[in-house]
Parts: sequence; C-alpha cells; structure tokens
Amino acid sequence: MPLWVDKHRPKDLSQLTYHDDTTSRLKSLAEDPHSLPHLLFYGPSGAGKKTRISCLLKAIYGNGAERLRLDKRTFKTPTNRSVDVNMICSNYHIELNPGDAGIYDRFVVQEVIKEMAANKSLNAGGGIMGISASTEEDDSKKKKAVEYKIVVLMEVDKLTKQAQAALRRTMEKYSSTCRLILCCNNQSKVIDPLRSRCLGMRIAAPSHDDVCVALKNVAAKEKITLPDKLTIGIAEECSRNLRRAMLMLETSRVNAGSTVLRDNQGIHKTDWEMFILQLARDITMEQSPQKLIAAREKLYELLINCIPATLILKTLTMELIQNLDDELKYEVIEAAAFYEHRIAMGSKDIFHLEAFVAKFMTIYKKYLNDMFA
Amino acid sequence: MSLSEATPWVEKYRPKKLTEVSHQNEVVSTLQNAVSTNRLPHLLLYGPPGTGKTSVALALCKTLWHPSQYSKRVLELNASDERGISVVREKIKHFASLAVSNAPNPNARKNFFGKQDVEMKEPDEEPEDEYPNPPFKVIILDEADTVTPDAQAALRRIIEAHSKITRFILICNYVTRIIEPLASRCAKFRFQSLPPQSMLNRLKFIGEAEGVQYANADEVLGEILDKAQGDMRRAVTTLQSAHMLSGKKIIQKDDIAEMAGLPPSNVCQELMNIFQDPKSNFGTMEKAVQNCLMEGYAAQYIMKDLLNRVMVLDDKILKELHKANIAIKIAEADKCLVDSADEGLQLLMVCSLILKCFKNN
Repeated sequence: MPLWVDKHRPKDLSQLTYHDDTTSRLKSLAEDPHSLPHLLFYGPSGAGKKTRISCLLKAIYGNGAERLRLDKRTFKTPTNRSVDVNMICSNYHIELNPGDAGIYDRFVVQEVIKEMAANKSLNAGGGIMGISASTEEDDSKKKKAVEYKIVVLMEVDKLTKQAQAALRRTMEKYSSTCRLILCCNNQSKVIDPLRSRCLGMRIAAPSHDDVCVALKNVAAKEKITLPDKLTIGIAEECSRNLRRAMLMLETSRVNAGSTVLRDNQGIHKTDWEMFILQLARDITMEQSPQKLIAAREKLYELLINCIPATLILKTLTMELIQNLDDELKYEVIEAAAFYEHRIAMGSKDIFHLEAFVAKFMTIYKKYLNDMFA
Repeated sequence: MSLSEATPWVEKYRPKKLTEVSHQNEVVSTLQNAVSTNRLPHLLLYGPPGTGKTSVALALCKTLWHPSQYSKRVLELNASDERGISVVREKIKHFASLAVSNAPNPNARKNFFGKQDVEMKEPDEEPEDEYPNPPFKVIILDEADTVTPDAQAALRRIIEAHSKITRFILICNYVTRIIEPLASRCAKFRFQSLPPQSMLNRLKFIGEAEGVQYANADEVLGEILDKAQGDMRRAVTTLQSAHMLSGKKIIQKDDIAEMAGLPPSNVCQELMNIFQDPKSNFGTMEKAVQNCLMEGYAAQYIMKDLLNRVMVLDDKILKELHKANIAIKIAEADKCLVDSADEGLQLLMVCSLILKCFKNN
C-alpha cells in the first residue's frame, strides 16, 4: 500500500491547493508548450516542487507522461570507468538525479542531453502512437505538435561546478529538441550563467493554513476524523514541510489504531531529533572533557545512522540557542556557521561536529564563569 | 537549428553581423579592421556574462565565410564538449593542422591540386565573393576558463605551430583563469557591462518585433534592466518569460522581480524594520529569517540587498565601525555560500550580527 504522501499527491495542475499564482503561471506555460523555456524550480524541501513538475509534464504531454519506467543506464567515461545511473523515464521525458554519478556527473549530464537532443520525439510524427492505448489518442493528437522531450534534473545544487558549466551552451544549442527542467533547494548553489538561461519558478513552503487545508483534505479522503487541535499541532511541528506533515499524519493514524484521532495524542518527533535534543541538553548541563567524549559517541551514532552532518549541526544549534542569553546567541551562531562551512569544505564530518561542540562548551563555560566570578 | 517559435529570443535575436553588435564599439571596429585587412590575430575575449562575447565570435566567423564553408572552417568547442588534455592533443591538433583550400572563384581553383577542391564543386546560391574567405580556419574555445590548466598548457605550442592556418578565439569570464603563456599569445579584448541605454534600445526593438505589451513601457523595461545588471541575456530571458507568463497580455512592473528570481524589496525592508525596532529581540529576528528562507528566496540576494540598505544609513543610526564589520561578515558569508555552505546558518549569522550592531549602537 502506498504511503499517503504518494497516494494523495496531486496529479493535475487543477488539483494543486496552494500557490495559486504559480499554478496559473504553470497553466499558461502548459497552454503554449511551444515556447516553454528552460525552467528552474527552487524552494525548500517538502514545498511541492516535484509535484508541480509532474503536473506540468502531464499538462504538456497528456497521460503518457505518467507511464513511468525505471531505467538503469551504464555510462562509460573517457577514462574507461563505468558509472551506473538510475533514471525514471516516460516516452516524453527523462528524470535523473545526476548527483548519483559523483564526480562523473558532468559526463552523464552531457551524454543524456546529447542523446535526447539527437532523437526527435516520436510523438511529433504521431505514427507510433497508433499502437498505444486508444484513450491516449485524443491526448496525443492534441499535443501532437510538441516536438521536444524534457530532461528533468533533480538536485541541481548538488552538481559540480564543471557539470553546471557543461550545461550552459548545451541548453542553448539543443533547445529545439530538448528542454530542461531543473530542480533545486538552494538557488545560491546554481551558477549565474545557468540561472540567467532559465525561467525561475519559486515554490515557497506552504503556510500553516495551507498545511492544515492539505491535511484536512487527506483526512477526508481517508475517512478519518482529524480534530482541529491535532491538525494545528502537526502543522506547527512539521516546519512547513508538507511531506513531513503527511508522514506525521500517517504515523498518528497508525499510533491511534483507529480512524478517530484524539486531540491529546502526542505528535511524535523522529528518533534522531529526540537524540539531538538529548545531546543539546547534555552539553548545556556540564562542560568537561568527559562530556565531550560522551558527545562524540552520540555524534558518531547519528552519523552511522546516515543523518547528514549539516542537518545535525543545524538542529543542534537551533536547540542550543533556545535557552541561551541573547548575548551568547550571536557567538554560537557564528561558530555554527563557521564549522558548517568547514563541513562543506572538509572531508571528515566528525572533526568539525566535535569542534563545534567543544567551541560551544568554551563559550558557555566562559560566560558562566564571568557571571559568577 | 531552425528558427521556429520554440527558439528562445536570446538565440533568435543574436546579432548576425558584427555591425549589429551593440555598444562594444572598440572591439567591433578593431575586428572589422582586422577582417578587411585580412590580418586576424588570435583573440581572447573576456568579460561578465551576457555582454556579447560569444555573439561577437560567431558574428565574426559568419562575416568571414559563406555559410557552406562555415562548418569546414569553424570548430566550436564549449564547456559542454569533452575538453580534457586528450581532446586538445587529438581533436584540436588534428583540426588545426589540416590545411584549407582558399578558392574564392572557380578560375583560381584550377591552380590548386585537384584533391583539395573536390569539395568546393557544388554551385552556391549566394555568390561567395561577398565574403572575404580568408585562408585560415578558426577554433572557438568558448568558456575557456573551464579548460584545465594542463590542457591549456598543451595548447600553447599548438597555437604557435599552426598559426599559419588556424586562428584561435578563446572566450572566458575570468581572464585570470587562463594561464599567462596562453593569454600572452592572444590579442585581448575586454567586454564591458552594457550601459542601460543600449540595452534599453535593443529590448525595445525585440519587444516591438514580438508584439510585447507593457503596462508602462519605461517602468517595466527599467525594472528589467535594473534586475539584469548589465547582463543582456538575462534581460532578454526575463522579457520573454514575462511576456509568456502574462499570457501574452500586458506585463506589469511587479511581476518582473518574481520572474528574475530576486526577492521583492519588501522582504528586506521587513528585516530592516525588525533590526531598527527597539522592541525586537533575537527570537523575532530568527522567525523573520526562517520565513525568508521558507519563501524560497536565495540568501545571497537577500544579503546583497541588506548590505545596500545598511550602508546608506545615517551615522547616528548605525556607527561606521559597525557598518564595516557587517560588510566584512557579509563578504565572508558570501564566500561560504559559494563553497556550498548552508544558507540558513549563514543568513542567520549575518542577521544576528546586524541585530547586535543595532542594539549596541
């Protein structure tokens, strides 16, 4: 049984519930598919970027865009190494996550786009479509004239600078047979030349009200009673991430064991969050070398469970500054920003996490000593 | 590539002749001089994005040769092509070392060895005489700053050894990324950011040709120019997107910031209000910052905007020393962001510093 997140994902542009401005823009793009520019979707995670992309694809190509298959392709690099990349394809588009290819991403991106650009979409002739199901025929006739394919690149911000540079001229050169839809969290990490070639689509995180509406919708579809207080609780707890809100709702449903949810049933935080919370409490309680060693073990535990170091640091900082004096907050955040940068630059995460914990202990201890001395 | 409706305007309105290139007068006149005297040096074109470097290179090649000759004479390599050291050694060297036949008219052709002029036999619709048809080939290395230093080193001798038959045009954003020995072999041309007036003229021309409608032409185009900051490509893309997204109807001024992916001015104004409000504390600031990020605005732009706003404040509101500190921190944060550090923490750090400065004033 699919998760509710996937089950109730809007499939059509008209089903999207918030950001009406963006939706109407997408609609006007879909109405005139010939002049579709390259698109760059950006916004925080769980805001609905991917949902909007798939809706747009459907609006352009009809139902055919929903018939997906998983392709595993092997690319051979000039240095004779082979790279495996998973792609999700339909007849009209390819979706891939070039970050999978590691340092060979530049090569994979170039290969895929050139290959796409070399083949004109079969849909243009209309011939092959005769074989497919008859329901699709009307659609394909209507969309007949769309003669390009679309390459959807996820997590463009994770692409190396070289790969992004490689996209620049390719995008312009092959724009008659191939359009790109780029998707990223962080617009700062996309190089300027790429941004100036794309039409930006900002997808803001849903507001609390938007989340509440979406939760209520799903609850109604699943025929469960969702009290208002719990809805608001989830909306506040999910940090405006709709995906997370849906997962929380489903967890609550499972925990309740019935279709009637109660107000007072707690909203469960994830294990790792509880763990970091505990860690934050530990290091504010006592600052000593022993505690540092204890903290190291906790950090290792988190890293082993594949929690990204950046996320650990961020969550930890946010927890720590909550109970601090305003004076100290700036110092702690500066230290966090400093070590987070080091994490991005360096190769061994644990060093920098530990350094941050030690730094925090120093700042805090000094503050306490000054106060009581 | 056919010029169908699908073509982005940037490609559609790319200048086709040297004379059509707007504003870069010095470069253009020097190049025209070079073309007419048939003495073309190796070229190194550099400058910020969207100032017409690639356009000039392509236009130059188009004025030199008849379209039928173009593919034989010009090799265009950009960052999207494989350009490691092996390509320099094989592909470029091969192309550079092959001689060309220079046969502007059929009578002259007879003087050459039969082998070489086989390919020239087809009669062309356009007279070839109109083109100077100089006796060399051109290799355009676009985005040359992404060529590895090793490959650049390998190019040095190739450039010299084949200079009789091949000219190189290197195009890059940052001239410092081109190794010195390579740069010294070329005539350097710096491309300036386009002044608003010449961009405005071109935008107006494109707008008229495409039938774009504005609510208030000067205001809308002014806003586009303001956001594009001298990048012509960006301005044209913005204009096209605005035209399309408004459903080919009237373009409003307020839409432009959203199209260009920049935060509207009220976002930063709100942050500034919080900084200056004596009642605000860290919590309110943090909330506002998180909100900015949740709305999906890029931290880099917010910081840039904040810097502009902080710097113009009066000395009584914020001391000069604080301003300097803020500027330093913003510069550091920007570097961190380029190194792919986390947006949230960096922006929060900058904002908490600004808040602290205001409180200590």
